[in-house]
Amino acid sequence: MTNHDLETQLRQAYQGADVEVRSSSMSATVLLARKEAYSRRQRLSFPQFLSMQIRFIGLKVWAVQGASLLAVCWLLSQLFGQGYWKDPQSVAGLLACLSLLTFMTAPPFLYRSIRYRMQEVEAAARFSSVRLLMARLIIIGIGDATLLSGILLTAAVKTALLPSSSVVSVAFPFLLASSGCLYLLGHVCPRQFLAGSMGLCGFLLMVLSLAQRHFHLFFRLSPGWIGVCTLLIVFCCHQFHYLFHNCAYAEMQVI
Amino acid sequence: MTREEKLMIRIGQGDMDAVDELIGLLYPEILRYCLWHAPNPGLAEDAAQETFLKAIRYYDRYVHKGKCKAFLYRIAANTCVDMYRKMDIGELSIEDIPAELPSEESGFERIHADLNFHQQIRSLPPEQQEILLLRFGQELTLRQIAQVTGVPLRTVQSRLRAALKKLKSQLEKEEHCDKS
Repeated sequence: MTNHDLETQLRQAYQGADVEVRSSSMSATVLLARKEAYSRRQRLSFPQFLSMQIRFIGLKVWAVQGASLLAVCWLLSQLFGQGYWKDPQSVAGLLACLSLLTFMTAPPFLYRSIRYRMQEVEAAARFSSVRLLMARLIIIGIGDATLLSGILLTAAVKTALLPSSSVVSVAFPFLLASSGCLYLLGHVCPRQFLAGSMGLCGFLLMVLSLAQRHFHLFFRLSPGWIGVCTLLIVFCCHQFHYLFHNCAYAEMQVI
Repeated sequence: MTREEKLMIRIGQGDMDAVDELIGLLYPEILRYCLWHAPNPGLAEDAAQETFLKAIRYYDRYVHKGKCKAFLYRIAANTCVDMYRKMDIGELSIEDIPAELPSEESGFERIHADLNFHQQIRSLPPEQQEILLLRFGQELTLRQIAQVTGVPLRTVQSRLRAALKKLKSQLEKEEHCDKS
C-alpha cells in the first residue's frame, strides 16, 4: 500500500458521508450572526471614536487655533514692529501671553454643547459624555502641543532669548491655565465653565501683561521652575483622573 | 486572498450580506468538523452556530493574514471543548477530544466499519487523530492545522507522518493476517 492509496482511503473515510445541513439551523445561525454583527457595528472603540471626532470637530478646532495665533502674531507685528521680537525683555512676556492665548482657544470648544443646547442629547447618546470630553481634550491637546512647538521653534530662530527661558515662558502659563480650567471643568456647573475659565485666563493674561518687562529675569530654567511645572503637570493628571473616574461630569451636563 | 478572507474583511466593514455569504460558504464544513467532536448531531449544530457567533463577537482578535479558516476552526475546537466541560464529562483539551466517530445517525460509523478503518484510527493517539481529521476530513493545509492546534508546523508534520506510518503498518499487518 502506497502513501497515496492510504491518503485516498482516509479521504473517502472522512468525507464519504454527506453532512446533512438542516436549512432551519443554518437560517437560525444566519439570523443570530446578523444580530451579533449589527451589535458589533454599534460598538466603537475609543480610537475609532476619536478619529470620528477628529473628522467632525478636530480639523475645525485646529484651523481656528492656528488662525487665532497667526492673527495675534500679525497684530503684534503691526503694533510693535519686527523689533519687538529682538528684545529679550519683551519676548519672555510675549511668549507667555501667546501661550495663554493658545490655551484660551480651548474653552469655547468645550462649551459648544451648552451653547448649542446639545448637552442632554450627548449625555443620552450611546457614547458617554466622559468619552466625548476625553476625545475633545485630546484633540485640543494635539492642537495646543503643535502650536506651542511652533511658538518655541519661532522663538528659538527669531529671538535672542535662551531656549530654556523660552520653554519656561511658554510652559508655566499654559500649565497654570490648564490646571485652573481642568479644575473648573470638574467642579463647576457647565454653564459657568466658560465664564470661569475665560475669567481665569483673562486674569492671568492681565498679570502677565503688567509684569512682562520683568519676566526675562524670572523665567530662567532652574530646578525651582522644573519643580513648579512638574507639580502643575501632576495636578493636571490628577484632575484628568478625577474627571474620568470620580467626577459626576455626565450628570452635571443635564443639570 | 481567498474568498472567505474577503468576506471577513467585509464583515469588519459592517457588511451584513457578507455574514450570510460566509455562513453559506463555511457552515457545512464547520458542521462536519463539529459532528466529529460533539456527542450528538443536535449539539454539533449548536457548536457550529456558536462558532460563527463567536467569530463575529471576537472579530477584533482576527488578523487578516490568511488565517480565516484557522480562526474559525480554532473557535470550533474550543467550543467543542467547552461543550464537553458544560456536560461535565471532565477537563479536556483540544488534543484530548476523542476523535470518536459520530453517532449512527450521521452515517460515519457505517462508512468506517465498511472500510475497516474505525479501529485503526481510534487506536492512534488523540492528537494524531485530530491532525488526520483536519488534513483529510477538512482538507486544511499543514500551516492551517498548526494554527488551529496551536503547535509548530514541524510538530504537525511529524505527527502526521507518524500517524500515517502507524496506520499503514497496521493495515498491512491486517492484510497479511487475512492472506495467511
